[in-house]
Amino acid sequence: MSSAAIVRLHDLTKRIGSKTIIDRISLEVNPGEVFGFLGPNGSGKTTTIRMMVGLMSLTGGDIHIGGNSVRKEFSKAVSQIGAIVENPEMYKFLTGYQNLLHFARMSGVTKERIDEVTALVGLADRIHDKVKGYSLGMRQRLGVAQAVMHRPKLLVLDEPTNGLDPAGIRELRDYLRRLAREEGTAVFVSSHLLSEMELMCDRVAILQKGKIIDIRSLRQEGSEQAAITAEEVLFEVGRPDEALDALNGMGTARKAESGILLRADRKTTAAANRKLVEAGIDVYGIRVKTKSLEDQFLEVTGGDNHA
Amino acid sequence: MPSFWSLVQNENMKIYRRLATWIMLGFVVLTPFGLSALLYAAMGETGPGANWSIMRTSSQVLYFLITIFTVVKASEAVAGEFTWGTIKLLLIRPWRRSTILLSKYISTILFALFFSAVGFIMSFLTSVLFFGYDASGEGLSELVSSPWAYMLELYALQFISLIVVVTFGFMMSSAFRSSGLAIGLSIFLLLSGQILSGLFALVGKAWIKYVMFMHLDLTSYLYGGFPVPGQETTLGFSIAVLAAYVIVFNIVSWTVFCKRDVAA
Repeated sequence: MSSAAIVRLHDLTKRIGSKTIIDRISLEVNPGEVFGFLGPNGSGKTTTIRMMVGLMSLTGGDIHIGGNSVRKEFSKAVSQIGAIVENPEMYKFLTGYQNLLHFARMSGVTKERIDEVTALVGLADRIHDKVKGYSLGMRQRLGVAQAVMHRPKLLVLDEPTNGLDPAGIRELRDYLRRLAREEGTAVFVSSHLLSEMELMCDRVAILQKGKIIDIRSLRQEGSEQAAITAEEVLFEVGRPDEALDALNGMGTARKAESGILLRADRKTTAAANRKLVEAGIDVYGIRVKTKSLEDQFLEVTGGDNHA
Repeated sequence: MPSFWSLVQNENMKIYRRLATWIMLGFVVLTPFGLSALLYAAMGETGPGANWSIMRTSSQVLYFLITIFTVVKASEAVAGEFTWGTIKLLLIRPWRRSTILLSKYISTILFALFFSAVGFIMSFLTSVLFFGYDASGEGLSELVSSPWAYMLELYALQFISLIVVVTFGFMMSSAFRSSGLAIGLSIFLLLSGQILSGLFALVGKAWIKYVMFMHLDLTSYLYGGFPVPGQETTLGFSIAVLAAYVIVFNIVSWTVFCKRDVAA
């Protein structure tokens, strides 16, 4: 982690009464990174986000946004954040434009910029209608517009895909990735939808019962689309016992239902195949088995928490 | 950094872009007309100067309405944001919570001033329409100087009471985050004020002059009377007592609004 991290959570703790909701969480998010905050319902995701944006007080620890403590320099810290906390609730009796104007006045955003973000989220032809008549997807887009219009360095989204249809989810995902890549905006996104996070995020923290139990990278160096987290290669062979013998010394080889499973990269896969062929074992197929984030998630959270 | 007035502008937008506000204004415009018409039907032609006493009567009824409407707006200003969920977008801007609450309080008072001005004009016009204009103000038996000064004083005194009731509603709204409860309790305060002040008067002790309920109707000073029976208080004293309550209410509102977590 570099010192240029835009978000720094340090021993963040929240207690309500005698109950510890968030227990000494520490993490950092870098500019241009899409960071996922993953956990089952009730694990403390929303509480953490509420503390980041100043809706809840901190019991212990601190949060720095761009080097400014939310405790001591709240205005400076929060001016760098754009956020949607849970559903994008807007003033339904106002038009989309009036809603944006409302929040623009609070952050000193120009009218040209309002028009710009309106076009950006594709609401230009409905922006002067009352929000009352908007679909959930349109409200979500209006929510994104108010969150990005002051060009925040950090975008915080709490369960952003809730209630969106697949096209809407895809649109949002593409937009967030573009924002991170092109503008260097850090995106902090919480979800309990594992498959979503896998497609969207560079790194994820897994939260359970108010504690971070794992932080891991989802993307290998330089690869944009391969969200491969751990890779095993399945060799379909006729005689698994002999094959296992032949692969002896290659580490993780083990018997599976239809052959041999081996943790391997491209080179090792070729080497293993050669060994099998040289040993006279017929290889019917070689397949890469990726372990999804979901498998891993259930593994680390013990699988007893329904996400 | 944008100025504080842009926050007030926002609050005004949220008040005046609502149909309900204009329906309220419609009531403030029509009520004096209806009252004057009713009084005309009841009394028929009266002597010169009747327009002032009619204006006084209809203004007192009308002010009851203006107070209730302002309480509704005050309650909505805080609790509404929680009900709508928009509080989560409002408080994550680079503004202190105390400043945001102040903008709401000020826009509520501006609303009361606006409605009072409309009420003043309408009750004057409709009383003149039915009873004719008389510059002398003979119709006001206890008149001291000019009828205009008298009417302005009447409105000023009623406005002071309105501030107390509305500040109470604002506090309830901030404390309970429920506009229904805040509106209900404020109207209770408004309605029960007279009964409670009557009960306190029966107690007859000296300390009752510090009880808020005793000072909620300051118009008795206009008639040369005193709001606390048996005690010759001054208007300045009454205002000081009410100001003390208003300050306490506001301390509660601000403390609760600035300290409490937004978990809804």
